[in-house]
Amino acid sequence: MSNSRPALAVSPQERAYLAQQDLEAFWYSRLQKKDPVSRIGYALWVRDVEKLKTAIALGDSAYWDNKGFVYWEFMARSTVVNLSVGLQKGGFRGTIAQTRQKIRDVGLRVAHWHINFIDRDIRENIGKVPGLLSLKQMAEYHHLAFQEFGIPPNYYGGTWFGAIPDDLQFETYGHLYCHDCDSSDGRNGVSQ
Amino acid sequence: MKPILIITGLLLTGLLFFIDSHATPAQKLCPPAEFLLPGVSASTDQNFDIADTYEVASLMLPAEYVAGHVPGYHAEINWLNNNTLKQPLYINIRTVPAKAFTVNPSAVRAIADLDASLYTDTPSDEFSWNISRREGENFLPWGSCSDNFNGSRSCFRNLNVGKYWLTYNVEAENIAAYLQIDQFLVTQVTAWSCNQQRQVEN
Repeated sequence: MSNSRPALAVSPQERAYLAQQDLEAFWYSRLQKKDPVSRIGYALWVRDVEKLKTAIALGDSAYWDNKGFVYWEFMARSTVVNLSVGLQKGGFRGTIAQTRQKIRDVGLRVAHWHINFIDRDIRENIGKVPGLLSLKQMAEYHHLAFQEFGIPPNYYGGTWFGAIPDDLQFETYGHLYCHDCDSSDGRNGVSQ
Repeated sequence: MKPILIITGLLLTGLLFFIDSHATPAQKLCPPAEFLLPGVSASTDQNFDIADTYEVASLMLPAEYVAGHVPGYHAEINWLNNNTLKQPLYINIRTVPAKAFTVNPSAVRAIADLDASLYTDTPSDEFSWNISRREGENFLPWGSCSDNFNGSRSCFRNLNVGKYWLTYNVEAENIAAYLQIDQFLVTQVTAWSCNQQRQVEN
């Protein structure tokens, strides 16, 4: 664990980013604090994929777990596919645009719980580093957010239940992951 | 989902509950397995914090189950972008109490949209507040709440049940039912105590 980690308390600015539903700005700010959850959060919501490449290339390799852009983008794409399948299993039916918006809403709720778990971690001295969550804490608030949307728990990738999407699922839902989408079919269009 | 993966996950999750917890055998609980949250995968990523050494268990009670036992509990609430969110009850059980906080009686203020008995002395320009419950002239620690900017509040209620210290989540829409939730959890935790028979059953 890096000793040079900045204070991890959630700033008023970060809370404001979430209130504005700006997930990219929220996770980028958390990235600057070396919050480990923000690596996947930023990979998921960054508009310009070049920014993600730059952040990884210029960042602390230990913080990025010595893994490169291909790994983190795969993780983000897998997350989108898992969420898409999980929402379907939970009963959600929608167009591509509606599915993308629903995934974004899940992302907003995940960020909401991230903030609340950090607040509690600091308030109650949980673990070793104030504001730094454990893998277990991260898994638990994802399960909470997922259950709020009716997504079965096995669609969170951080547990033993975690499903790696299969080829068919990637083919069906992979296009929902796009960085600078501006059309409702998801190939080039509005994720932000 | 591959059946072997699920079975392995279930076995390992159950194993984790009894092995990973630092609670002593006498401090263990035997809640129904379907309420236990799945364990986490092993990871070599050193960027995360260590696991909570005081934790006994973390549970998730389905929203409908809670609503069926707690009068006035809303199983669903409305949220941003026309979403309806289920309200499962997340419960984290530890062997130590939440960090104590003192209350400045001259600075306490009620918070809009919360239960009338709940107050805070945290400055109004902050976004996460210590919450106290008023009993006569005294203010007793209740838990904490956060401002979500969109007019809603999310809270963590801290509750002592015998040798356990519980924290559960509650949204503003269900705050009015907190005494009923408390009572429900006291009953549940008591029912979850491990006796010989239940350990065999589990």
